Amino acid sequence: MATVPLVRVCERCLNEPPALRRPKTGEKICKSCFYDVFETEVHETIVSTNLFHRGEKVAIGASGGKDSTVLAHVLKTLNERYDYGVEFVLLSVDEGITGYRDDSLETVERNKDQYEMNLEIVSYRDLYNWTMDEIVATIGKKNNCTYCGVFRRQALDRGCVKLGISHLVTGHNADDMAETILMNLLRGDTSRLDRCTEIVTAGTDSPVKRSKPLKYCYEKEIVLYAHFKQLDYFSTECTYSPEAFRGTARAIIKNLEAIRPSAIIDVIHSGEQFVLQKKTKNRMPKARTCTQCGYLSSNETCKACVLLGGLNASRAKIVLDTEPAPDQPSAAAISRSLERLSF
Amino acid sequence: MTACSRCGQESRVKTRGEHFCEDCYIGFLNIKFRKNLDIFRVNFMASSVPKLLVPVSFGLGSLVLVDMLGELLLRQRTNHGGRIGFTVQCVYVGDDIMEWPFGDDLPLIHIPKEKIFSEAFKIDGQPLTDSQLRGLSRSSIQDLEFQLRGRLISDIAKNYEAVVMGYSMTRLSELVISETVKGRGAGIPDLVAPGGRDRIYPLREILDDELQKYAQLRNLQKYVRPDRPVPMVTKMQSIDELVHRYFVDVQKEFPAVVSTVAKTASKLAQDTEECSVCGDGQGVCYACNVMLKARDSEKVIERMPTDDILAKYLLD
Ligand SMILES: [Zn+2]
Ligand SMILES: [Zn+2]
Ligand SMILES: [Zn+2]
Repeated sequence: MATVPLVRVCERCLNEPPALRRPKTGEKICKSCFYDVFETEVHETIVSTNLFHRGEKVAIGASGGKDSTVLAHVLKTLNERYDYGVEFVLLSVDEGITGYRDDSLETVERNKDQYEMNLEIVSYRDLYNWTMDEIVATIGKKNNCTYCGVFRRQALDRGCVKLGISHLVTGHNADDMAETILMNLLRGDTSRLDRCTEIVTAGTDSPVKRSKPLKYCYEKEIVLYAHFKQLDYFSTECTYSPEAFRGTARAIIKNLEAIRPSAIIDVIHSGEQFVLQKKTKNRMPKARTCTQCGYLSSNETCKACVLLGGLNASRAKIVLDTEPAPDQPSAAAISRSLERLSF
Repeated sequence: MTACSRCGQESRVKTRGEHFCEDCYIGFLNIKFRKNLDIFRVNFMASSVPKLLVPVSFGLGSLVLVDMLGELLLRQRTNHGGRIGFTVQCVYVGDDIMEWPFGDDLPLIHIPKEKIFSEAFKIDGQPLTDSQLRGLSRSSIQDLEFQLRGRLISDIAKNYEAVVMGYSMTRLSELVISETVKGRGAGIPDLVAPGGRDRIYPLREILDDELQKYAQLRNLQKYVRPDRPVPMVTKMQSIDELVHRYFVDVQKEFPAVVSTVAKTASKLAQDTEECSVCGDGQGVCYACNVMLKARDSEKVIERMPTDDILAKYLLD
């Protein structure tokens, strides 16, 4: 019997030499088949959920990181290939994190030209009169993500409203989704348990609908896509401390994947089956407006104003208690308030 | 001497911020245990005594459960002139049976493990063949055994009033996580629902640590099956083993996580997927499909830094 010579070809097109092993399936495939399968999966997610409509104006939450950069690139590609007729705009938040956000915003500025999309930047400094660096200097390196999460969410909302946009797409990927499902179980976040896997979320406390076109994309495939396409992205992670349980959820999923590569999708599947009991659902808060800033809120005071109240109280305390040194963040913030007053 | 906060005797155990002497501690756990079995009080009007089926694994929970059931029967006999409110049949499905320290009130039947593969589980009317079984990963075999044992118990339970199981709060929370990561999210409400499908978990409000102390005080430890050895290499471990170790670690940092997970899961509504493997329905559900097809992975796939991903997946 003649032995068949081992020819290395792409398992999809049986033509090109393979360039990578696909993390989701283990198939050895060529570059163009990888682009095709990756982009087509996103397209199928978009079509099967009627995510966009013709003439819609949609904001892409752009951080300059790999997820949102790949999202912008793929959406531009698909919009042209399948003629969605959607106008995409890049929307970035400047949290005021030295060395992280100022550099990544330069990336977004370049993306603006690369993808021929308009760019809008909203900053914590303008919205709240606090930068994230100042917040961390005040509250310490704990619960940073809680503050940042609340402020960023509202900042993106406000950016959308300013642009007259009611649909925001974000770069959340399958790994993020799986982590979030486990975290919501571990910390008892009932209100988010059955909503966190939905591709579109329209909360009672936000005028903007949010969606996650990359929700089934493995993070590793996003990295590989960005690498092959030589996308211009900023790869440093935020240096502030992550939420409780995020690290442990990430660790267990990494180990689970070693045992069963489908683990990420399995967790998402479970999350999609979670339905809350009626009585729990009825207790969910109704929409109203924040008495302090007038913004949509599920409570009398919105989360951002609650956090800001605490921050401003501690800032006032610093001013009263001590003579602030000129380079202290609180002093910087105060002098900015003065600048505004003098204007 | 630290005093028992309930009677002033010397404290032997501290739990939930309270000091207990031996008697008060056992009483404290028994109150939590008995309130779940209130419907099986001695009933002088009833013509027959309800039969309860008690599946045991020789784990901590099942031995404490059987011990408490025995004490409850004793108490009923003493207080009601020899009458009891229920009878117990214990059942063990597995191979390596252990010493059974309980008396005639608590009889045990033994079903060998092969029965669950030959009798309880068939695909298109055919039992799973040896070669099919060999093709499954360690993780899938454990999962399959768990599902099939559950089905076998459900079948036997048709002749009983209810199934009483020794799941602690710790064990139930761990099951919530492991079923979630196996893609079995839909089955969680049914698993954790109080009294769901005529199943009763009298230890559902008791933590493993508390059961451990009970077992010590009642000299049950020597009958508890020691933990099976877990492979050192992560990818050789099963999902259940991995989740167990993870859950033990998380509790060290966040002790409240056990009750949080249990409480959260109890708020989920029934939304069971149809399945002929893990349920009584048609077809094969998502998780059973994964379970039966999944093979031991040769490749370790991790959430790694970009450079490692590129180095690993790029072919030259
Ligand atoms: Zn190809
Ligand atoms: Zn006492
Ligand atoms: Zn099933």
